[in-house]
Amino acid sequence: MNNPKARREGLFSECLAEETVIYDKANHTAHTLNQTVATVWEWADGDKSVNELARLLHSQLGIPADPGVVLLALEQLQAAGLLETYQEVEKETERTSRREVARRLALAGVSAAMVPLVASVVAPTPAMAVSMVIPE
Amino acid sequence: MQTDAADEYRALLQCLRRALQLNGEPLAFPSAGFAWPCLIALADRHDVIPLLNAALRDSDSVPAQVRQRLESRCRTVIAHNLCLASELAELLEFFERSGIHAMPFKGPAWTKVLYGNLAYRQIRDLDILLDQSEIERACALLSERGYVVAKTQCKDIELENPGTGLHLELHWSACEPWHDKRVSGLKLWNAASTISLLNRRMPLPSAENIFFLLAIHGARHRWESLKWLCDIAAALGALPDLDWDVVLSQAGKMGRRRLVLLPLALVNQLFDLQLPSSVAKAIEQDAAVARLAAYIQQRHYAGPSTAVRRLIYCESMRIRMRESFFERLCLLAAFLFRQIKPNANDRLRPYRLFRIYGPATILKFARELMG
Repeated sequence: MNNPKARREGLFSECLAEETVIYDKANHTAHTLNQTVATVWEWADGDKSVNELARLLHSQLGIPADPGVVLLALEQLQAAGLLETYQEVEKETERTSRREVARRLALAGVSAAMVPLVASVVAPTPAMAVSMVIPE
Repeated sequence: MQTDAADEYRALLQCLRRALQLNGEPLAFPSAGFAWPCLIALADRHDVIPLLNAALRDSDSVPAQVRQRLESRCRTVIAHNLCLASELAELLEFFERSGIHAMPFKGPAWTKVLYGNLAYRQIRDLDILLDQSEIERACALLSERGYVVAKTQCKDIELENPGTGLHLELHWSACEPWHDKRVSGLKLWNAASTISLLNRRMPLPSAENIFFLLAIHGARHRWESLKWLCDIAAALGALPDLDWDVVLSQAGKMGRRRLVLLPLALVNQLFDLQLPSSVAKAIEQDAAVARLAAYIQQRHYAGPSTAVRRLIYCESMRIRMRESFFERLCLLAAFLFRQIKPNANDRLRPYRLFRIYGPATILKFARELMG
């Protein structure tokens, strides 16, 4: 399998607390990455293997060096269009599932917030960014 | 326990102090009956939702629903800001290739300078400063990118891109001549440094001129939004090389010291921000600055006022921000003259004022106008 490589072209990112928001100019979409996925996206440069990325996650975030976590993160990045190499990832992720990864991390005492997660933000418009309604 | 507008305003200030890292004390909210929707609405009115969210991030007393909505809103704000920043980077490159010297004003570039992160400020549109002689060419070039002119004013041109929904303002003056002729004639955007935003270097004015431009902008809007005061507070921390003697001396030469002292007095009062000794001394010497600051604060949480009262308030603020009695008198005369001009149907005419309010109220308005 080729090493995973994150897409960088036309993407702009900014941090919000423990999340990273990525804006995709080409599609006018935005995605919120939790710390685990953001770290994988940051380090997936095409040179590092899945195992190496798992070790990086362990050293940076204290997550067990589990390739399944990386594969789940890559699957989510692929679905959001944030990866350049994705065919191979698709095959690998057939072996894992979100529930299984969450269970393994929970057993290792890792917070549920660290389970790889990418949430798509609705394409922002100027009006959306400046008005807010919170019900009573 | 029910809270009132002043309580929510105090709570918001407490949050802003924390977000601006001026106060590390834990936030304290009344355990029951605290009107979270009112606090959010107040923060929304002042465009400081991202700072409120930053302040409340570690607080246990925030209801889950409120936290969720704040976070969701902040993600949208960041995405929008990134969208604006990428467009700004492309526009500046576009202008540079065409030989037009343009400089970002407020917006993503200044947010990065003042807050270090695009997540902390709600940005509505893009503002670019350029020379008036280049405006026509810039507009022609922008039309190639899908922008159309929406409004031409005496200090800027507003454009919008129907395809992306983005708004862009091209400025050639910091304020309208009718607002302040002396200041409107200044060119405050000579490039003094640069900042890197989305891997592109963008020009910036000197720290003194950044502050002065922020002060002019806030004054034009009578410091009605806390967002502009947060910018001032952030500037005090983010621009350590700012030479206050230069700022005060330049403003003093134009008779505009009050223009720069007022926001500083406000951030001192609102956020307990320590001011440089020269600034604190200058504020002490002009008693009207503290009075104006207190007056502005009351407006921050006051309910909506009538059109008449708003007109009087706006004019009185503009007049009271001037140091010279003669200038204040001239502005008052100009204001009254505008009301009696023919065809000024949208204006308030003095005779109508007399009919509606009577001489006593008019005298009160005049006293308010003159400070």
